[in-house]
Amino acid sequence: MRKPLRSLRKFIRKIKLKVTPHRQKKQRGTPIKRSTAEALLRHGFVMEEKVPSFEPSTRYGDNTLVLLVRDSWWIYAYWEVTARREGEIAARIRREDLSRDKTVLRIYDVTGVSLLRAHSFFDIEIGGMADNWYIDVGKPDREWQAELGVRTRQGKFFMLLRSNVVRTPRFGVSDIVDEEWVAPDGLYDTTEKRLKEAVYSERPWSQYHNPYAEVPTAALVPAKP
Amino acid sequence: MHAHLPFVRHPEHDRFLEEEWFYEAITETYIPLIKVFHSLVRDGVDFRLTMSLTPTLLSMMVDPLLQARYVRHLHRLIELSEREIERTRDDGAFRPLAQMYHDLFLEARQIFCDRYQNDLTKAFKEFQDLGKLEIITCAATHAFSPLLDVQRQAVKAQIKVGADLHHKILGRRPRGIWLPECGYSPGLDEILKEEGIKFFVVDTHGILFGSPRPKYGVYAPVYCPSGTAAFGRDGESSKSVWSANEGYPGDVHYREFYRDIGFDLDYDYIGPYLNADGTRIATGIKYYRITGPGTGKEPYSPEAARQKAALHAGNFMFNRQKQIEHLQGVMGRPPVIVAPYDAELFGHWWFEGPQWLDFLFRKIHHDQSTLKAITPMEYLERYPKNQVMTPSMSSWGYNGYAEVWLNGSNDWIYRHLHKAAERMVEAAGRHLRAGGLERRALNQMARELLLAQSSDWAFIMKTGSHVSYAQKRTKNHLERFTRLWSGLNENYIDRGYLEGIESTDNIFPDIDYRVYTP
Repeated sequence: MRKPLRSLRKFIRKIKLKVTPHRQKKQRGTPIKRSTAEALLRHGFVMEEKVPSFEPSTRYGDNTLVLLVRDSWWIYAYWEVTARREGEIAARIRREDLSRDKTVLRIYDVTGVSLLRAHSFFDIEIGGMADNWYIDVGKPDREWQAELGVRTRQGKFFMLLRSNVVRTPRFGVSDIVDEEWVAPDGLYDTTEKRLKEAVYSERPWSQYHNPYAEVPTAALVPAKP
Repeated sequence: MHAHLPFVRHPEHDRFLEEEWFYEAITETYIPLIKVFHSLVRDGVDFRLTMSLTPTLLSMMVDPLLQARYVRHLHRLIELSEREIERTRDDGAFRPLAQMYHDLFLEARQIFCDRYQNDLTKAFKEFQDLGKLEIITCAATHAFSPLLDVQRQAVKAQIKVGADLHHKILGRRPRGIWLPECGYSPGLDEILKEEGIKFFVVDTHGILFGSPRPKYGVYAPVYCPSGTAAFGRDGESSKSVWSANEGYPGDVHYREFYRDIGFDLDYDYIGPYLNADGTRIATGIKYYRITGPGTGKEPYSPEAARQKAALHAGNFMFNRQKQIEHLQGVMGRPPVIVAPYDAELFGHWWFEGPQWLDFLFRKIHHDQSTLKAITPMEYLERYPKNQVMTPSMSSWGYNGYAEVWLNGSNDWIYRHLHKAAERMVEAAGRHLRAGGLERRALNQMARELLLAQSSDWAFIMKTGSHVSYAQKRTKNHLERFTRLWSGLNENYIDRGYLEGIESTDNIFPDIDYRVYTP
């Protein structure tokens, strides 16, 4: 389930972003006064000194783990964990005489049940700097919940954060049929091929052609998936 | 038809590149559509069109600064087209085209300035009141709700603020909504119901993959458990317009979008009509037809294009007749075909689009009796018994779900958008009876949060042009929000700063921050 290549690429991109100087011709925003800069810093925003442009911080001093649904197979997680919370868990691990192994994102299939009764789970090992992840859950029409935690060498899991519950959308027609509303034969094709066409069909103009673009481009429509 | 532009208004600059999106859309899409509606009414052609005018677009249409700037923009175009008539005087092919643009711009000025006193919402309202247009609303700033609904109150505010502005400008509560990007996830229909919204549109698979299995596919509406009706997009009719290969707009006789004199002519000549910083942009004056796939292009012939538009309208109607005859036979009740398009496709990109629409409505009215143009509301009134089911999460974006707005280019925004919404809800709950400056700060925080949530920014980050602008907009609104929030918490609101952004981000003048209280 893990996507090491993806995370590596992402990591490289982040580094590149950090080392590439901002190519800003003009500043359109309002410059921020010093006092505000300080106030913003206190409330979780980082101000760059030279360029008076604003960069939201990735740290708000929260303990939070949020799941979002990308499509029928993939969900996305972002999180923030405070040093204090990490410290608490580290202390508990020490108290139990265990030793820390990996930080993992544990993904539970909680379809129709609570996390304690989860149908199954799997772990994704998280590198030190990551604070978000695309997760290939691989199953449409299921409910998911995640915990970020520390796995010890002895295999015990200590939870740092717990997420919201999300549901990946069904991909295909429902097996549930309302007896009063049974589809007549031949109205619409329920073969997999046709249904996929409904999802991967050509999309509205705006989805390919940026309606706001003024620069001519030959690439009007991308290749079909 | 979905008409939308993000809120782009920069009083701090005399001319601003991204404001041109709005000016181009007025000249090339909104005014041509208004002309079509006029001529249909004048000729007694009964027609129905369901059209969303998004709250951001309505706000720009009624904004005096943007109105005045549009008039200035139009005057530049009129002047340029006069120079073009002069420049092409010996050219038999181009000279009439220069004249055509000149006439179009003069007519645009007459419609915009004289007939509607710079306010195009009056035009759309006129056709609404005649019963021809069903104008529906949209989320306040076109937020893609499946990625924001971890804070339900944030989505509620998007819907309520949008519906209120719609009511204020168009004089009626909206009965329907165009969900931004067709983005639906189960439960959203309950929020719509609270605002009195009776119907919305989802993409094909939103209905097909709903549960229980839909009896009629997308050819009849369904009721969500909340009672709100959902209509599904018909793939077949949609495809004939926007398919890259088979779609009408790609016909070789139609006008070529990418050959614009802004790019073709000498810099010294065209310079004054380009962007303020001198970069080349499209002017809207285009002399060539699509011709073929290569770069060799032939001059545009309006008459040949007009004939093609008529032919394509006839073809579209014929295909719908066949489709409806077939469906009616299988279903045993009249099917509904929902064919949604981006309004800005018509006229701006597909120059002949409004003409095609004009032909289509005339043909439907005069030439046949198999089908009728109908609004979703009329269909529901006529056929109120429909299946109850829950549509599936879906969007009309690439690959059908949330990928366009959630990928490596834009995923960083969500933690900030969610955090800001959380702070907004908390602050609104803590200051239930705010007055004076505090109240203004809270209202402006609500505006900034809404503006940051526009799906347009994530979309632009993904598509790759204007990326820095989209990033900047996201950050600017988050920054303004955070600064006000900090001031509120520290009991020090900087009046000068607040007044500055109140006049810049002046959208939703009547907003009440308590929309964020549960």
